[in-house]
Amino acid sequence: MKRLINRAGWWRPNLRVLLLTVLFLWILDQIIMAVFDHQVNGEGTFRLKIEEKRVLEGYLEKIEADPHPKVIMIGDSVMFGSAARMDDQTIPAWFHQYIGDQSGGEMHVYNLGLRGLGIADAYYLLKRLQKPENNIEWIVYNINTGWFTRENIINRPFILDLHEPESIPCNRLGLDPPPARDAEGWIQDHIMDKWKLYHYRYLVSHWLFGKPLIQRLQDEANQLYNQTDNEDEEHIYDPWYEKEWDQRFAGDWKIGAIYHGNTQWQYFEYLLQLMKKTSSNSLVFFTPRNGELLEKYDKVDHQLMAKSKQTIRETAHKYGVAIVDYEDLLASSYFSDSIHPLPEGNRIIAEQLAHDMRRLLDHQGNRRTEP
Amino acid sequence: MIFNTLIYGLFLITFFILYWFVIPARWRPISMLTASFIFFSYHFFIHTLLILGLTILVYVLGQAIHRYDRKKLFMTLGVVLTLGTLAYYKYTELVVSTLNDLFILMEQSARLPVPDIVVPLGISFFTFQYVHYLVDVYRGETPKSSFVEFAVYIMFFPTLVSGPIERFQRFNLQTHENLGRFRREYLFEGFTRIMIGLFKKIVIADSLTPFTEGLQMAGLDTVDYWIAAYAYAIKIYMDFSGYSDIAIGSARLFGYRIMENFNWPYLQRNLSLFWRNWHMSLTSWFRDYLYIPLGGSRVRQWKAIRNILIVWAATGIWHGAAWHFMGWGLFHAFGLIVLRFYTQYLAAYVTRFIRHDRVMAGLSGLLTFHYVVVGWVFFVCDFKQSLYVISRMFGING
Repeated sequence: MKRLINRAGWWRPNLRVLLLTVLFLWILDQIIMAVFDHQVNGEGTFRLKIEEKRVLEGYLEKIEADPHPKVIMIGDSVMFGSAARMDDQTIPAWFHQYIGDQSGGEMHVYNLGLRGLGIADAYYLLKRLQKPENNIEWIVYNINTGWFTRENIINRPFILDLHEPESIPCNRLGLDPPPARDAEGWIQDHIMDKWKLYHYRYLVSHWLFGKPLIQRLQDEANQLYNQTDNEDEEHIYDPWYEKEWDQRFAGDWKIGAIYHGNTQWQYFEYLLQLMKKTSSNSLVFFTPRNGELLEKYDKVDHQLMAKSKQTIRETAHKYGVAIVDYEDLLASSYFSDSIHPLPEGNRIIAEQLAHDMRRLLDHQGNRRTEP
Repeated sequence: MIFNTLIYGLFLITFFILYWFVIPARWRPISMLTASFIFFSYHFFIHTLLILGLTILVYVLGQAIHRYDRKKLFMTLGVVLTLGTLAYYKYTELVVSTLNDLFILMEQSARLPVPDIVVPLGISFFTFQYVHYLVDVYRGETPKSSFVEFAVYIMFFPTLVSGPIERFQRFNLQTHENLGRFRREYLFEGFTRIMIGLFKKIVIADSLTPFTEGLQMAGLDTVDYWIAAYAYAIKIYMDFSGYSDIAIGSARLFGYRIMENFNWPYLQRNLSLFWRNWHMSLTSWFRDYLYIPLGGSRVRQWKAIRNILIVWAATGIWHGAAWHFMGWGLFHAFGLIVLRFYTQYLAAYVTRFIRHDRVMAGLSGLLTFHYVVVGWVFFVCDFKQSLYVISRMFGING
């Protein structure tokens, strides 16, 4: 075979081959950018499935470059739409459909939901968009009280890469200081990142394989060697009542409590202030919960939950951010688990959001914060 | 500097332009030496000084062999010093750990502190180049050369870290030839070879890594262990031959044609041919500087077997400072001894039954490949895990 290849000599490059290769790579770059532009169309259908700095940065740049008035919908996996298989079944996508007709397509909607996005993560993500020229009309944030009791302050460290390292209080966030940028990093930033195929390699990999190739291969290998623990991932799109919950809800823990004065809480206050500064209007909604499932296992401390929500409400009011309670908005049949709504649940939330936001706008001068 | 990094790419492009289009031809050897020095200093400056020191020492000893009568003394001194340096850096930890294990076995409480030694990049490769140079000078097979020529040969950055283990005579001729003008074939051939190497390394070898993890696990099925072993066999070939391709391609950019390291080893029909086509520069080094000096194969049976065992134990331990590497080497020694007996006593009878050479070649190729695949288990796992995995591969052990 080797002899055959050598004899053929067809693979030996010459000047023409080199020029054609460069042309091909240039065309490929244009295609990548065109596809990315097409996906980030302001209809709320682009989701950050790739948790990688360059893809996030590219997405934020496109949001900033969009001259239309915008609604930024930021939050955790609920906003991301973890239990929605299709990109047009998430809260932001449904929401765009509801407001699209009313705004004549003027208003663009962007999904900044990320799986596992904690409060401080949301703050640093939104901070990147804090420029008056960004023309952000609304910021909508879903708050889950569970985030206040999390030990980790930062859950998605790549978000911090959007900012200058010296502006990040690593000590306070319980993080090691970022390593100094070495020569390899410098070449990446100043030379290689100009090449779109390289810059968006994770995105391209996701288009081709559904996830970054190396992750895909690792998953395949884990599955082969029975090391997989992605049962949840496989069944996330199924309704909760088709799944087993005894093991998941074992133990005597309950939700409802929040700790005041801890770093999570401080970042919540920062986030509220930032929302107010970044957009003309802002709205926080309490994430809907699957009451039936949680009650079945007696996992909610109702007294503490009511107290916590009241504190959150008062704090939001203090910073002039509207807050609405969707905790009991959805019937249990709309959930995949205790918290993630199925597509129809997302649609109902989006419809309610559109309704509440319209109502808030109607009462600009005399804002009611509870529906 | 590692080959599959951006910094190496930038370094290569920059130096390529300087070497052919800026630096005057007569300064090219010096510039190559300087570039190699920068390449190596990028990681550990102190180790660069070590190589430089050893290079000066070996060159001086080489000159002494050329000039003075006590040639054997100078050659032995050089070989002992260079191999001693290799042993110190690479094997001290293994020796101390083994002694500690022996103390535990003998129920002694004494423990030696295990030193934390940083092994200089590529020490196994350039040490073998030193030995080759000293022995060839001693044998009168190497002409006199300048220090710069010798230093360029040793420190030549494309081959410094992971070979191929080039021979001085071939290399030095090309150093002289490269004083000429740039030829476009250098760029095209070098570039293509580097691209092929990067593809093998990044796309194939790295992608197979998750599938090789099964070799370190317990409780998998026979099929799973075979898949992991096949994946490792392909990965190590693509990884190492890809690295060699990048080295050969990088050298070609500067006009050098470095010796090949791999020639379709998995398609060979017996273990001996496999080794003549796998890591060829290392195998030929061991053949020329250990196996043949020991007497080679044309000696009495027991001596031939002894020679095979010594060479393969050395080959094994050269690959890594752990006993399972020696186990891997001895596994191949066993295979080669069996092949020797088969060739001497059985081959003639077998070929009477299977007359078609192609069928025979196919069957023996398949057998050789699988023997090598099983051997890789020793290479990648420690002894206990190796025996467990191999027993599971053959359906034993539960």
